[in-house]
Amino acid sequence: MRIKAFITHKDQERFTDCQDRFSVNKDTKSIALADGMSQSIFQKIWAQLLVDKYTTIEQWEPTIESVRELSPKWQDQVMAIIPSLTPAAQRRSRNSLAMGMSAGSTFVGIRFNENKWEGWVLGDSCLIIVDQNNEIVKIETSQEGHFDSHPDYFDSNPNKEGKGLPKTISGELHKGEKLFLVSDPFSDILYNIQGSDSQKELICKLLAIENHEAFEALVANWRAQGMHNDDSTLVVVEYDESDDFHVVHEDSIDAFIEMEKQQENPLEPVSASKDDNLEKESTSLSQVVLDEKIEECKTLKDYLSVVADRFIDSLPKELKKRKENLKKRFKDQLFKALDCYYKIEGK
Amino acid sequence: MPYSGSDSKTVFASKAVNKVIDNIIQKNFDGEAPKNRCFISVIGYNHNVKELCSGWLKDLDNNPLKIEKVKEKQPNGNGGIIEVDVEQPIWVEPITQDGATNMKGALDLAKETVINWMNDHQDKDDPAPVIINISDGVPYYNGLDVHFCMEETTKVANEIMNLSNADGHVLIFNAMIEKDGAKSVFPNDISKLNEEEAKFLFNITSVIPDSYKGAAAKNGLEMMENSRGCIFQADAVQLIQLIDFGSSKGQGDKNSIV
Repeated sequence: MRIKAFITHKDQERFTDCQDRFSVNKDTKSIALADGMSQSIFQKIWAQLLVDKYTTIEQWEPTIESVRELSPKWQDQVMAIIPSLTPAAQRRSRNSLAMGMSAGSTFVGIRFNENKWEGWVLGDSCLIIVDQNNEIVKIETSQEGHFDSHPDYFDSNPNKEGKGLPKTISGELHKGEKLFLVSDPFSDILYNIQGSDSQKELICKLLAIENHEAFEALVANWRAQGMHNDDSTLVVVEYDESDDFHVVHEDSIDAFIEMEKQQENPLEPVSASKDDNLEKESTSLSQVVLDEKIEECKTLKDYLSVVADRFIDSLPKELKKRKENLKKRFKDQLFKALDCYYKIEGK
Repeated sequence: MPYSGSDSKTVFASKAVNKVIDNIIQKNFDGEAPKNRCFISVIGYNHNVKELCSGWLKDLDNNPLKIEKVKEKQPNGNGGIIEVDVEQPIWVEPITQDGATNMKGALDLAKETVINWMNDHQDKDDPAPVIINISDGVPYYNGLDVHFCMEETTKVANEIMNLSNADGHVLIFNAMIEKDGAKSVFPNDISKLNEEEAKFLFNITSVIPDSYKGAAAKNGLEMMENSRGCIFQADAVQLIQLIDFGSSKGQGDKNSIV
């Protein structure tokens, strides 16, 4: 199986705000995607728990009853996070919990055994089955008809039923066939183009995505043409005549969030993460450029100038307009300090 | 609960405004922080005109005037109702002094606020601001003739409704709170309104754009062809519905309301 997985947030928001989560596990040959619902609380934690559980524990089946065992973990994580919030957010979180609010999330997950797959789906996170001709054969969802703003979901409160019943799904993947696991903006678009003249073209565009930048470009383009502006996740599974998982691209939301934090607080150290991708993402393009520029430096002033540029570039976006001015002032100060040093040392 | 006169009108309106600001923040709260999808300014007026609070949702949530402890009724999960203690932020307090109704001054300040906001937010996706005016009827200020005040106020309202950006025109919605008089929600025909106050407010209210149809349905508000965004003799629920409805475009995207 050749697998690519992409995720992005709503326009005008950030990855920190993104409520979609997905997981791809090569060892258990499983993939899951969950979309935390907007008008619920701590839905990101709930979505993450669902996808992690499904892709880690091979025998686990996400039924209304079995997801209740995740509720205490959700509550523990929520209680752990509340003290770190602002006083206003702590007050609002406690109010929300006292009022019985909880998290909701849609879900789709599949596990492979050779080329056979089985899975579960609930709500408008869907599995799209595509044939060799790049035509949509079926859209697996627990719901009937058009998608609306009230999808089926799992609730993190064990005393609540959530909405709808999770549906079991299964099939086989053959040469040339594809599976897409998608969150609702793609579910909606693919539902609407199913059987239309444009479906092949749009499916080809989805299959052609090979990296995050291309995914962002496609999402921006489709949003401009009317795709719902919401968190958007796409996992593509293509049968490459091997039963092993070949993950050729996998976005890491943790890495993206960490990068956002770094941009906001450039002096804070990158926190440790188990995710291998984080290391990859942290060696960002700007770091490579910095290394190259430093190699080119002939004097200490050149070096300080490069470091100053890098430091100012890493400041938050809000300071963008002032960057050139800041760079100049920062360098002036550095060079003055250097001149003083030379003077004192008699160099 | 209709406005009965047990609270003063300003107390009644302040409660509704506080409730709605809280609702909007809550709707955009993911457990960790509110998302800054709305910018809200509240202007209070009697004979004086004053900006009472202003800010993006996160700023407002972090800076209420005070916090009050209130009891809220909640389903207990077994078919019963329980009361839970919650903390209610207060951003707006009622004006205690009675005075004139300087609606023109309030609209002048609202106009200045939306112009500044639109100048600072010129992206193609930035929505047109919405002004929700809650009053007890016609303007009266500086001891001037009421009809002159109405004319002057109408002039400013029309100037505001002619302001526009890529999203469309700036909208004015109105709610009139009064004990007496005929109740009317989203009227589309001025000839069916009897009171002079209602006719005046009808004239300074925008026709509801089609893009609000979904929000009207969601709030249980019936819309007709060319309905205007005004409610007369509004009860507390309708007042909250109107403000919620008026700010509904901001629930999914960035927006501004005054």
